[in-house]
Amino acid sequence: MNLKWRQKAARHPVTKAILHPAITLAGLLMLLMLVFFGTLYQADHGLYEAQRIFFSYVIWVADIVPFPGSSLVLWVLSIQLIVFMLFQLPLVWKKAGLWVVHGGLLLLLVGGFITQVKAVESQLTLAEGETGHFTTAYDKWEVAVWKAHADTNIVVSYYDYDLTPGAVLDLSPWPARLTVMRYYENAAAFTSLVTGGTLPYLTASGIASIEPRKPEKDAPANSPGLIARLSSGKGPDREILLYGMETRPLALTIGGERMMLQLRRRHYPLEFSLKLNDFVRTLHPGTDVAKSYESYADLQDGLASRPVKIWMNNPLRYKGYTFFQASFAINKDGEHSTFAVVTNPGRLIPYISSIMVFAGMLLHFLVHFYGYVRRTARK
Amino acid sequence: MSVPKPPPRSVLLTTLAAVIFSAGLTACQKDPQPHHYREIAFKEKNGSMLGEVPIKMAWTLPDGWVDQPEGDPLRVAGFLAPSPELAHTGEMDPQAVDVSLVQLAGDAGGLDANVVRWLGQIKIPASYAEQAIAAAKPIQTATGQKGIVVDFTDMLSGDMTQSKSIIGAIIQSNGYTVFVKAMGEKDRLVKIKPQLLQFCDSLKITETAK
Repeated sequence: MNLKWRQKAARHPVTKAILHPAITLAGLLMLLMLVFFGTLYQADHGLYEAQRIFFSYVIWVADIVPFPGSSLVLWVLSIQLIVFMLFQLPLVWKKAGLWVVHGGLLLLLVGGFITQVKAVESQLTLAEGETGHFTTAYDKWEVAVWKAHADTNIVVSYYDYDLTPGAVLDLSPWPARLTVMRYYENAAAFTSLVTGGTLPYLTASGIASIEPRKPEKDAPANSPGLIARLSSGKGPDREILLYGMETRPLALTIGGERMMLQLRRRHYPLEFSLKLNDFVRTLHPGTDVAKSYESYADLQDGLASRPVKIWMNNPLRYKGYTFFQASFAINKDGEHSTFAVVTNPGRLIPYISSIMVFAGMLLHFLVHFYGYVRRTARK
Repeated sequence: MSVPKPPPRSVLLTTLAAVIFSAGLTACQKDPQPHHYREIAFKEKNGSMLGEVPIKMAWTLPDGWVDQPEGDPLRVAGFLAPSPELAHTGEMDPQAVDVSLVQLAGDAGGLDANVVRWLGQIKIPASYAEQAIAAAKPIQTATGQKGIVVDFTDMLSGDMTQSKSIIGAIIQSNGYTVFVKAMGEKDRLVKIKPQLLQFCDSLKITETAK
């Protein structure tokens, strides 16, 4: 069976152009090059920077020559695959295996897209006896404005990608807005020694000025800086300076209410809470070499609570979150456990697509093998 | 003379499609989007049950050191010690060493236990405590109290990802113990060590009651 509109569409010059084998070949070669050079680049510039550059749409080689980035190449190959399946892959039972294989490949690309857009990696560090209600990003930042209300903070935040000069950040429900004047992905901060003893901006820790710095190889080591104008409609505008290394928020009165402002690593609220009861480090007998790290915690969701154990290679999976035992620390407050927390709606897609590709190839082989057996039997 | 052939129609169409696609991608600029959420702040732990310490302390801050007015309630004071090269530039050192000044009643668990505790914080086996104490250098405060300085910067951590170390002073006297602990990247600690010793020497500890 082959529909007429499919045949007509398959003959159209645009379809032919999109499905040109040179594009597929060039795309696959480019992916090969991107993986190769991305791996080399990672050695010198770190994983985060390599991901940022090589997974973009366009890479500027030596700041002059454009080269397609992984996102662009994968989009082109995805479109080509969709067009191929729509118009050219024969709609016959004999080709069912190929349909499953191509469906699996398409699912893999969709999964990659979902992971790129939706996956969030963060961490949660808890001292024994402490309860965590949110996780913290490694290298992504937000300017957060909140009002302390009992033990709950009501927060309005804007992510770092929105902090472009001139951007106006509405802080409603509070009657105020921030206008971004300068934002540096990585900055150095200076005391009033450089400004002759004056503090030109309102700050939390007496920083007088900031200057841009080249981003660090290891993105989590960056410390961004923000200078913005705060307008509240009442009284004159105020210029504020927020710096990523500050441990305290800037306290200001906005619209008669005491508010906190901070440039901090993004917080991701959890839909439940995790209370660390005990962290256990077991050593190999007679040595100081660790045998295992184990965290014993209570998972609290609403009124329900259950004990959980998280240890190396045995993460806790709950409501789309995966908690991996990542590291630990021991200081005067006792033992702390750090979990790497990942949410990825596309987590299972690569497994499903791999099964589909395998099943499709098997089906294709069996269909042809059946035909071969029949032909041989006839002879 | 041969006339160059125009590019095939399919190539032109593909180029056009690619340009429109790229333009579409870059045109997807949106206004800043606020994120609204509520978060429960971490619960404070109960306050310490430490006894009153009958002393008052004063000190002279080395050049470039920055006071950290708020922080750990156990600390009498906390400072950030930048690399000495940055001390006069006004630049804040992102890798500044964290220096804490803590006073506790009694012997605070004893010398050995505290050295073991510090070693644990930088993941050095406790068995190195004896060696660290044996290599400790004596110090004396401006008011005459004697103590020792332990330096772990030349010791290797069991965890190879651990780049931080500690130089600490422990001053034990009549019913109290004073700790000066500098924790940070090894190379920074080595650089600020002379200033740290100068800070310990400048400590003025006055006993207020017996």
